[in-house]
Formats: sequence, structure tokens, C-alpha cells
Amino acid sequence: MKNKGTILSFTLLFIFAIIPLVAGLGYALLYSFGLVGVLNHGFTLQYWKQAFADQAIAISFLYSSSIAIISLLLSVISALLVALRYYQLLKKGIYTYLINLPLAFPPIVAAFFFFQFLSKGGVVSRAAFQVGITHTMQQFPDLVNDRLSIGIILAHCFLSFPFFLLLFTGLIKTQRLHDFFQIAESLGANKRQITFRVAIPLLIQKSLPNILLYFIFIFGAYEIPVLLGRSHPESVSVLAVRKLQKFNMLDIPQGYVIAVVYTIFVVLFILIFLKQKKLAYAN
Amino acid sequence: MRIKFSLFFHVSMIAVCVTPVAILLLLSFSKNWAFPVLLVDQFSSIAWNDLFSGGNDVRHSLLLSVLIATVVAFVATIIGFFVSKTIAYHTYRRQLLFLAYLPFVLSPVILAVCLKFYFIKLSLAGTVAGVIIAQLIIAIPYSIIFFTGFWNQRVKSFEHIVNTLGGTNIVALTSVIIPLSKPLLLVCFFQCFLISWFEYGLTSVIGYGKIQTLTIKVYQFLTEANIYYAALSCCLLIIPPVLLLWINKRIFLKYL
Amino acid sequence: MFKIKILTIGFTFLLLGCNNKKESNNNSNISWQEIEAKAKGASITMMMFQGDRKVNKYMNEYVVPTVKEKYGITLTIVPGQGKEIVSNIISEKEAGKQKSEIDLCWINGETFFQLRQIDGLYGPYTSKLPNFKYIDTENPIIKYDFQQEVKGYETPWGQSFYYLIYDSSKVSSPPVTMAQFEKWWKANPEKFTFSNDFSGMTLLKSWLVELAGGMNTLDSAFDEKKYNLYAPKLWNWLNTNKKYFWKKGETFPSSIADVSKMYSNGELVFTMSFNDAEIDNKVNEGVFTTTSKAYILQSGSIQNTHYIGITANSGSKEAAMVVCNFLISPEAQIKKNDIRLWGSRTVLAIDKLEKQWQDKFEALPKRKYGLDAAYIKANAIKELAPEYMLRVFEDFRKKVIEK
Repeated sequence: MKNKGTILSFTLLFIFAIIPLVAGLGYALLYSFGLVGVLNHGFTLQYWKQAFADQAIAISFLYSSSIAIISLLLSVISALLVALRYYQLLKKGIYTYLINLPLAFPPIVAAFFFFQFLSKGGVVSRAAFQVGITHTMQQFPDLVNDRLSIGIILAHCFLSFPFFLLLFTGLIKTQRLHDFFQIAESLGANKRQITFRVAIPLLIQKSLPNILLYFIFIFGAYEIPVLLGRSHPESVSVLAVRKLQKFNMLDIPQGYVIAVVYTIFVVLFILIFLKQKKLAYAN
Repeated sequence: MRIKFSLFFHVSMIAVCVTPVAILLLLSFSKNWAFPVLLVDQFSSIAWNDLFSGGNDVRHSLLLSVLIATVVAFVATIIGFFVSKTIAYHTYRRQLLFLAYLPFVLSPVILAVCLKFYFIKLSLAGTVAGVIIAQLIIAIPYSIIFFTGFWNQRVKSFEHIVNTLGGTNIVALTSVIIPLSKPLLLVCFFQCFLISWFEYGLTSVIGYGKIQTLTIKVYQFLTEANIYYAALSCCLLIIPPVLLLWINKRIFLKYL
Repeated sequence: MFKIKILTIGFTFLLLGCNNKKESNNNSNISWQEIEAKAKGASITMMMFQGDRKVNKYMNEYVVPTVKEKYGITLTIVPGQGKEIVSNIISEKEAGKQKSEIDLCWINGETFFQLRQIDGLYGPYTSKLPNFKYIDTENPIIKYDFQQEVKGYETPWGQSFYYLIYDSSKVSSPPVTMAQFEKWWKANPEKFTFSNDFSGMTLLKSWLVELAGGMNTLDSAFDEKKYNLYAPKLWNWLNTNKKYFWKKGETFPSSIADVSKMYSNGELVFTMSFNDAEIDNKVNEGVFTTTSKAYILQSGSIQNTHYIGITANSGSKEAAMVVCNFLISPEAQIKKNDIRLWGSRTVLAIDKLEKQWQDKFEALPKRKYGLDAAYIKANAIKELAPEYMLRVFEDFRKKVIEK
């Protein structure tokens, strides 16, 4: 029984996790070296050279990573604080419903909303004008398509905050953290100590796989940076899609170069990440 | 002080959650919304009327989306739950978990472009089955990763207790593990449902545009110049999951 | 690791093993009646841009039921434009698929150029279409698709021209020359921009034409020397003036739709369009203000034609040809021309039609906000060769955006 289950699990893992990546990566790799593709004529290093002729790839990797790190720091920390502080409030009444609402937003809707909300012609700017804070539309600060990527970060936080809030409240419950709090308190430990020494480390540790996954999501995001970002620097997906789908058909192999580099980068990232942190279920 | 704080908390939470839905809904019912008019002053139902007039087979897309998303969420949650257990208790759990991350290594649009070749070869391109399989490539590993945090020594010892008391694995499952994991199962089902519901990259590339899920259908209008139609498209995308949540509210309430 | 290596090698063989066999049958000797008979009962798919509800309505409520009723053809419309069509055909070729999932596609310019390069189109076939005799084939803008001769590989379907839209309550006389633009930007900073896409690049091409002293200089095939003479002047001019653009010219919207969204909420006072009917439609829908007006630049209005292509691996070329023939029938074209339905200018030569159709075209309602047909025709300029677009795109990024 146990063995059968294990074999079945491994088969499923193989079919849905390994085959697609190996197949997809193999295809991208061959394409980038000119080995497949209608317009290719055999092995060449030309596309790799072209792709690295300028710093566009390096810049976009740095840019996407920073956006992902900042957005996650903001949303994870705030979700942690809210979950621990307001756990009792969150598990009852309207909140059980409310905090799920942003989960129903796909990235493109979030991007559209934040554009209509924060742009110079948007809702907030209109409100500022109506109450007399600004006197022309142009006085309103740049919050979307801005130099600091505020719009992008806010949109990502809006999407990820409720997810982490749900995850943390769920974990507090399944890990029975509150029973633990009570025991600790009855033993005379102070609440702050428990929060910072026990609860937060435990929650972070338990949710690490999800945080890592979210990092990859934000890193590879397309719709939000394309609408709320700038023409330069570009996020990785925006750059790759531009090469793969825009006008010049001869740029397609370069798009596959980016796909390959992207894969290697993320695989290395996951490897380093999983190596350094002992994951919680390891006893 | 405490009261003030929680009042502030209530107000800001509600504002964050409700404002976007309210604004999008309002915009979808309006026209001529020029600066500096704060909230819409001219109501119009052009966009909504147009939606339900002929030519736009929204109901068909809605049904198709519900069907695909339900199948994907159901299959992914169940497979993910059990595979994650195997992984979590396995000697090489870290290495195995790493494998589960692999499909996320490429962003869906790029993964889809790289996989299209194989789907065409297997005659799965442009079919509902092809789209479901493509979405499962994202949803199953997601679900595996989602559940890895759940399996721990405590759960294991519960199972052990049941076994030593003479209960079978199935008894352990139904009497201990499922009640224990119910909130997470629900969240995971919901998340996988949403992954499928909103999936655009894989669905459009593998489905060839022939498998017209609601997301595929309304996506084009979202990228159009008319903000009222775009707002309507947003509403169409978010209202079904919001309703689903509302229906599920009791369940969430009970277990969260 | 070793297993992965083997797999990769396996894939190489799998991929290299696919040859694209060309179909030799091109219906060269059969009559139109036989083609129609063969087409009966077929199911075909058309891939086209579906981001406009009027266009969708025209297709779904008129074309689809009519071809079903008249010819017994089941037509399915799926969304996808330019690049997606090309990439689908490329993937099918690479996978060695014999029967394409797409039979018809809405294409022009770049897409046509690329599909021809990969032998993705069936043809020449247009001379077999009975209605082809009505087409205004003398018109160079129909005969040449972005300076490439069509040669019977695509059916002309409709004409578009490029124009700007402005809010006349905020701009008294809109700039039509580069000198006037410069003056206007300085007086009204941060209210103008263009998109970093096809539409914005067309504006840049219009300015390139102005710098070159008129269309005649840049007509015909791509000329590297001429490009290198005029393009740097354009980049220089943009870099000097971009500080007066929206967001100080540090960024540009990624699509024309974003420009129009900002035009409709008042953040910008100009937008552009390639869709003849757009201004009328948008004003009627309450998206653009009623004070919106259309106009064209002094150097002229870039005009092009959109076409329908049949894929080389279409499973039912007969049915595809019957649908093409229907789409250029006076009946279908008059509906396409009607501002209440689609509003795209016809590709038929009105004087070649029978009197009853001439009268019907004559009786179509006039545009209220859009420009007059005769005026546009007088100021029309041809699209430049596709290479100009590619170069302008690339250099605009390198020399303006990343500067």
C-alpha cells in the first residue's frame, strides 16, 4: 500500500513537474542555438552574443528581483503583524469573507484598477483636486509609471497581502499557536517574547515554500509591470515577451535565450534557497 | 487606545478590500468620466447591455470556465495533497520538493510558447483536454508546495496513534487528517480554482483561442481603449470568484 | 543529469525529424461552382483581432450566420493578431502538422511579409474569386501591402488611415508640422505622448517623412543611406523636446489603448488611431468628449489596407476561398463600410459596381466626427517599407527611451 502510493506520487511528480520543464527548456535551448525553428539554419552562437551585446538582460533581472523582494518584504511583514495582532478578529464575521476579496483579482485587473486609482487623472488625484490639495492635474505626484515603481509594488502587495494573511491565520490555527501562547503565558513568558522568538520564526519557517513561490510569481510577472511600469528598465517577462512576440521575427531566438537564462537563474535561486534553510517538516 | 486601534483596523481593512470592487463596478456603469469629476455623474448601462446582446456568447464561456476550473482545482488539490505527503515524509524531501518548483521556473507565457510544439505533436492543442493538462502543470506543483507546510511530526504521530489503536490508514485519513487539514484543503482548492480561472498565457497559447474561457474572452476588451468596457471586463472576471467566496463563506467561517 | 542529457538529445532528433511537406494541389483547374460545392459542409477557423466589439458583432452576427446559410460553411472566429498568427503557423510547421488549426487570418504589412518568408500562405488564389473584379486594384495602397506586391496571396478587405484626435475645448488649432508641435509642447508641457507600439511608431514615421521633405523621398524599397540621413535628426529632435512630454518623456505608454485611456480621462489631450470609425464610436459610447476632433498632419496620412490570408496548410482551402469571396462582395463590404456597423473604408472600386450598389454606397450615413473620404484620399501617403518600421522601433528604444 505504502509503496504503491509512493510510486504513484513519484510518477505524478515526474509527469507534471519534470517532463514539462525538461521538454520546454530543451526546446528553448535548441532554439537559442539555432538547432530548431523554421528560420534557423543550424548551430550558431549568434543569438547568445546578440542577447548579451547590451546590458538589457542584466538590468531587467536586477530590476525584477528588487521589485519582488521589496513587495514581499512589505506584504509578508504586514501580514504577519496583522495576523498575530488581530487573529481573533480575523477569524470571525465579515473578515472571513473580506480578506478573500483581493484573491479574486487577477493581476491584469489589479493593474487596471491601480492605474485608474493612482494615475494623474485617477480617483485619488481627483479627490486631491476636489479638496484643494492640488490645483492642476499635473501637480499630483507620479504614482504609476513612476521612477520608483511605487505603482507596481503597491499592486503586488495588494495581491499578496491577503494571501499571506490567510496563510498565516491558517497556520496559526493548524499549528495551534494560540494554545501554545496560553501555555507560554501561564508559564510566565511575556507576549512580545513569544511573538518574536517563537511565533514569527515558526510562521516564517512554515510558510517559506509559499514565500519562495510568490517571489518567483512576482519575478516573472507580466501584466502589472507592463501597464504600471516604465519603458526602461523593463521587467524580465516584459523583455522576453517583447523579443518573442513583437515585430521582428528574427528576435525570436533571442527571446529563447532569455527564457534559458531565466530558467537557470530561478533554478539556482531555488537551489540556494532550499539548501540554506532547513525546512520545517524536517522533524 | 485599544478600541481606536481596532476601529482604525476595521476601517482600513474594509477600505482596502472593498474600494477596488466598488470603483470597478461604478466605472462599468458610467460614461464621460472626465477629470476632475470624482465619482461618476453620468450613469450608463451601454456596456452591460452590449454584453448580453447577441454575438457575445458569454454564458458559454462562463460554463466552460467553471468546468475547467473545477476539474483543475479538484484534481490538483487531491493529487497535491497526497504527493506532498509522500514528499514530506521522504528521506530526500528537500530534493523532491525542489522538483515541485520546476514548472514555476518559467513564467506561464514563456512556458506555453516552449511547450506548444509538444501539444501540437500530441494533437492536444486547441482542445479542452489540452488546456486542462496545461493548467495542471501549474496547479499540481502549486498544490504540492502549498501542502508541504502541513505535514509534520504532529500529524504523523496522530496517524500513528490511530494505527496503533487498530485503525486503518483510511480511518486515519477520514477521522484525523481531513478534519485537521480542512481549512488548508479549502484554501488550496480555491487557489487552484483561481489559478485556472485567471490563467491566460497557457490557455491562449495551448487552446489556440479556440477554448474560449471567460478570461480569454474578456481579455481583449481589457486591453482596449474604452475604460468602461475594461472595467466591465474586470467585473466579469472577479464577480464569479467573489460569489463563490460568498457561497463558501459559511465553510470558511467554520474552519478559519 | 545523464537522463536529462539523453532526453535532450532525444528531443533534438524529434525536432529535426520533422520535415514540412508542401501540398501540391492548388485547385488550379477547377471552376468556382466546383469550389463552392466542395466547400459545402466544411468547418473552418478564422484568426483575427477581436479587441473591438463592433468588429466582433459584424463577424458574429452577420458574417458567420450568412456564410452558414448561403454556403453551408461553419465559420469559427478566434482571437489572435499579427505575431500570434505567425507564431502559431511557425509552431505548426515545426511540429510537422499537416492540417493547420487556422484556415483564414486577418493580416497585413509585417505579418504578411513574415508569413510569406516562411511559406505560410496559400496562393496565388485571389484571381479565382468572382468578386475580385470589383476590387480597386489600380490603387497602389491596395496593390502593395507596405510596399510589397500582394501577388494574389491575400484578399484586400478594408482600408485604414492614420489620424490624430484632439480635444478642441483644450486645443484651439492643433499642430500639423514639427515646428508647430515643438511650440505647442513648450506651451503645454506633460500633455502629449505617443505609444511605444505600432501606432506610436507610425507617428514617428510620419515625422520621418516630413524630415525627408515628403513621401517621394522614402517611397520604394528600404534605403539605409536615406534612413541614416533622416533618422538621427528625428532622434535629436525628440531628445531635445521630450522633457515636455507626459512623464517628461522618461517613459512611453506600451500601447495605444493606454494613450486613449488617458485621453478619455483628461490626462492627455491627444491620441491617435488607425481605425477610421474609432472617433465616432468612442464619442457615441461616451468615452471621448463630444469636443473631440480628428485631423491629419501636413505631411499626409499614412494609409494601409488590411487583408485576409489563407494558410498554406488549411484543411479546406475551398471553404476559405468562398468566405474570402463573400467578404469582398458588395453586400458584405457595404455593411463593413457602414459607420453604424464597422465603419472601415471599402476596398471595392465603386465605379466598377452595378448601379444599385453604387447608390447604396452613396446613401451610407456620413461620419460625424471622422474625416471626409475625399479629403483623406487627397492626403494619403503610402506605408514605408517594413524595414523602416523595424529600424524606427529598435532605434527609438536605443536612442530615445534608454537615453
